[in-house]
Amino acid sequence: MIIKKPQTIVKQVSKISIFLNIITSSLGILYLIMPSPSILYDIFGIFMIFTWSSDLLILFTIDKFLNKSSIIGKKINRHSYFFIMSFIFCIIMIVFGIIFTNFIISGFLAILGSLMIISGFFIIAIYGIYYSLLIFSNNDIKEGWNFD
Amino acid sequence: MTKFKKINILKVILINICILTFIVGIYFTAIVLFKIPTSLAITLSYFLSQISGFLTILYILTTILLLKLLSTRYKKKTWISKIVLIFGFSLALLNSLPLISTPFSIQNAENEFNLAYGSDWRSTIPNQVESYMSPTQFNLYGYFLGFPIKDCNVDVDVLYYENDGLRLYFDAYYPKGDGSKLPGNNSVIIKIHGGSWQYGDKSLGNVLVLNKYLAAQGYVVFDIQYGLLDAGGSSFIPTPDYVRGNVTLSDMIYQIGNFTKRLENEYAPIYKANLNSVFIMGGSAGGHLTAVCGLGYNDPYFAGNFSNALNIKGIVPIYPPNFAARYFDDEPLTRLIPGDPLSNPTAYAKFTPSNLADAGDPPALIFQGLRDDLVSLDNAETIKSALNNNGINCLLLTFPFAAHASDLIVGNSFSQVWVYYLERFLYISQQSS
Repeated sequence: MIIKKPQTIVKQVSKISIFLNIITSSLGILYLIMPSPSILYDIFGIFMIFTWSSDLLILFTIDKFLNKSSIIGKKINRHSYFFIMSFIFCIIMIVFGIIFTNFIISGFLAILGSLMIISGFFIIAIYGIYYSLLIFSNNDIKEGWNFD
Repeated sequence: MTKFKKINILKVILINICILTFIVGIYFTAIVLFKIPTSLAITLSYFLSQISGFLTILYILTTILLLKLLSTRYKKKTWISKIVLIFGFSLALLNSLPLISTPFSIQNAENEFNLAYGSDWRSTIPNQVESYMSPTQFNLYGYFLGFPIKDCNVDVDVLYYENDGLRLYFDAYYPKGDGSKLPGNNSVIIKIHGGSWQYGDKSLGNVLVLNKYLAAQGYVVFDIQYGLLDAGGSSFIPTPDYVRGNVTLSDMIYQIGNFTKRLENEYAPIYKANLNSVFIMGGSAGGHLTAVCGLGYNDPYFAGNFSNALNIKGIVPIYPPNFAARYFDDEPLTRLIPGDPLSNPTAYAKFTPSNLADAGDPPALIFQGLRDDLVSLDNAETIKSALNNNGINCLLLTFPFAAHASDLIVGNSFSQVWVYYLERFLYISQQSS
């Protein structure tokens, strides 16, 4: 029971993360289509923060349970690096997107700014789904983990 | 070179980038929290507190990345990991303070509105009108994905003044449909940009996202240029050459007054502007000029300067400098008022907005950051006291950790709260007789 506990926690957290990323992506699409002030989008904002927090929590905790000498451990580890780097890149992209859209009213840079925000948000969400799914689906493969 | 060696080199590079991020992070965090009197730090302070939520996430990611990288290199040195962990999360926590302080800004604004308009002030705004406004003081999607930009008509570069080698233009933002059916009811907002009376411009330097937002709500926003003192200096703030010259504060007020007269005679019919409901708004130097124009509109010192047809319903000075003797004491700004406080006391008194307060003045809404190194809180407090002492409402909205120009990125934690209360102030003031 004690040996299995971290495995269960990782599985549950990855499951929650998949759910949160899907909800956030769906609300993000809705916001993209109808960006008007609404209480629904206030809920979207809260979901977004919980989603990013769950992504960060998985990235933070997964490292010590991975058996990096196994094939699946190596694969998840490699994707952890890619996800962290993508996350950093997307956050920087969103910041610059917001600056562009605030200071440039029209033209190429204004469009680029909006695209940077949208793509930054969805890259995090899509990679979040993929990464959580990768952990969830490989959670039962014994040689990939050091849960004991 | 083997693949293993390449990966090792990449890891060393990444470790160094993470350490560099932390070093820069210490400097950035110090700027967010403390006054650092260098021009670079002051310039950075304009932006850092506005994006500190993003920096929080970046520092957490950097910490996780560095921990991963270190775990592969120093398997036994867990104390290094502990230091990185504590340091990285401390940096993240400190940078989240501006975001965490949002409830304090909201509570302060609520107190100011309750004091000015009574605790049931929201009931004065009909539900149909409120449906056009932000539903909540702050939301996370607006912070992390940007403020939704509204659509409106925009006319740019309309020439309104050409004299003494200066050419001054304005941009007009006005509703697409019938503004009289919107909360703004075609009320006029004259927006005056900041830039230390020497730099700056309309549009780019004057929160154009807010201009569009207000225009979509039925306001006719005139974002105007005025003459700027050309003292030979330079700044990172974009400034057109054709607005710079040997200009004094009196000239600036004259040019703005000239705009009000042309507004009455020419522009009001074109833009269907409601001259019975006019607001003046501006930040920094523009906040000072806003307060001088708004509170001096009925002052004999400025007699004949402004159009008499405009009914000023409210003023919105944003981090406004108040004390002329303090700000126009040194070169080059001393050139803005001829003489000095001893030889020309009247001018110094009249360009100190709090001295212009009287019972006939319009109400005011002031934005003031509590980490503003350029314009301290006592400026806004003095204007507020002067107006309150004359029985005029003056609502002072203060924002912990907000530096100078913290309203520039609409959507940040300060600006969202500001816009929520600004749109309500504009509507309530419009309705007053």
